[in-house]
Amino acid sequence: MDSSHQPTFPLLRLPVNAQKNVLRSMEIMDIWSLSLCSKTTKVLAKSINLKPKSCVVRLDGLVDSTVNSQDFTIQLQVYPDRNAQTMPNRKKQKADYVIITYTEISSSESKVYRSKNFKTAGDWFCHFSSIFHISSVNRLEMVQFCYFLSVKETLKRMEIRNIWIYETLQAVHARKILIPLSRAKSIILAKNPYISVYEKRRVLVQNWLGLNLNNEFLITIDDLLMTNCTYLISWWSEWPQEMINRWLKLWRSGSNRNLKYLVLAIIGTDPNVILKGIKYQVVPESTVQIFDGNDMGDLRNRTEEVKGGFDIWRNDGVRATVAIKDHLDHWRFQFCLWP
Amino acid sequence: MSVENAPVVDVDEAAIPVEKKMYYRFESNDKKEFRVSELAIQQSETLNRLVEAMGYTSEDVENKPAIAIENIDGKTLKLVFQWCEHHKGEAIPVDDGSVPKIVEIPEFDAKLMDIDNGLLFKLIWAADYLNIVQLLNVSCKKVANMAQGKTPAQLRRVYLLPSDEEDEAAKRAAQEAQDPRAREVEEEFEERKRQGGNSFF
Repeated sequence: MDSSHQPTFPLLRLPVNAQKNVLRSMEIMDIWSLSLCSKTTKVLAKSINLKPKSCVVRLDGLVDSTVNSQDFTIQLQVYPDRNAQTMPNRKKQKADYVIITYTEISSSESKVYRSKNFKTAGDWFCHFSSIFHISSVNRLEMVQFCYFLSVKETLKRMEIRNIWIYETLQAVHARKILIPLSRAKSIILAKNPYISVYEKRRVLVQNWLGLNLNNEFLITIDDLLMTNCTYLISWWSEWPQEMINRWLKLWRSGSNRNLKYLVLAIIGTDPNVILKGIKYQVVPESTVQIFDGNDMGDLRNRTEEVKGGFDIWRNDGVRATVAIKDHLDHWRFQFCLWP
Repeated sequence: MSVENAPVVDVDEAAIPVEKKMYYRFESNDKKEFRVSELAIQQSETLNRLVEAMGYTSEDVENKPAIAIENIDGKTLKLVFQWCEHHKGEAIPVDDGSVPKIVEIPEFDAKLMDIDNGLLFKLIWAADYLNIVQLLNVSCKKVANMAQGKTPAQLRRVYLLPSDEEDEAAKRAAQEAQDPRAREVEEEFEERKRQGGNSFF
């Protein structure tokens, strides 16, 4: 259709209340398109307070951000300008285009956008976070280093709840990211990016709420004693049962006071060795206690069933249950503190 | 314009309860007069409050001059009252704050709003001014539907959106057109600032 015959409507001359009503009656994709028209329309789009519940940012060669609401999901994928990839300074690499995908229960729609005003991935992400009022990132997934987005700069004003460092992320880049983002609440490390013990401990001593350490990231009893986290999961740190016993005695006297949940791999399953010299009470296997780790974020399941085990007490009377479980062909030592 | 010649909105009298059978007279800014049932007026929060505050009896309605609505012309007001009469007695929707807002345009409303965009623009202004929630919702939905599937460039054309540069130019022009004395004061202030003076007064 020839645009000259297209009927027009002076949207911005309506009363403000009606302008907002029009925008709220639009599809989300149309609101996004409108927000790109000018500064005025951006302000208008912001004013209708689209506030999704959660935001996940995934860096995997491209910037992939997803916001979830009760009724819909919006995904922003920013692609780099491949032609400019050979440039000497890849940090200055520009964003080429973005794909926005809107998903409802029954349908999904994608659109490609290019803009002269948005030169970098950071520009697009800032616009996206501005329209959807994103002030916190529930999960930042670092799969591969993203040359065309400065994570430190772009996310500097945002609260980051969880960081996932994937095995595919190079150690040098993981190290660069971890210290600036130490204000995040919890972290899942699929690899150990540190060579020296000193460097590793620099990460462990940050005040994380939770740590989930996989594969090569092994912790010793000294590491555990110096952490201040509430939830700690180390799938592959195999501790001899005598060492567990030593730590339990230290915990009983007041070490790791903030720790509520701990999972470690264990060598040996003899309760007489693990609980040697510790007053305990056997919990029947038929007794199921529910551990509520609601603030654990993405570290593990929010609630966990603890079947049986042994109840032990700290010197101030606080009760915890320890249990030895067979999990993925390994014996795991599980520690849960009760309020 | 005399009362006899005034256009009267078709009213289904059988649908009106006996005790509510009172018709108010309104006059548009181009002196067109309308008779509207009390029940239909309830759709407009503004008019409903107005007539309540006036406390008119049936005799007052006939003897006193029609209530003037100065911001709205006869053509628009006719559409507004047609809508109110059709939807009289219906519950006024409560906004739950959801986005996208779920609004369906009924067949009657779609036919009523089968008008040019100029008149639709006036209708929205009238619905907003008279605070007729559902009429505002359906008319805004019609405008929102114009955006469906359009690119930013197409939206600029459809909604006559000025670019950032045009906005800046309009702002500058508005500043230049402001009160000459205020402009003089501003210039003087700028001049003193250039000369390095800290205090203006």
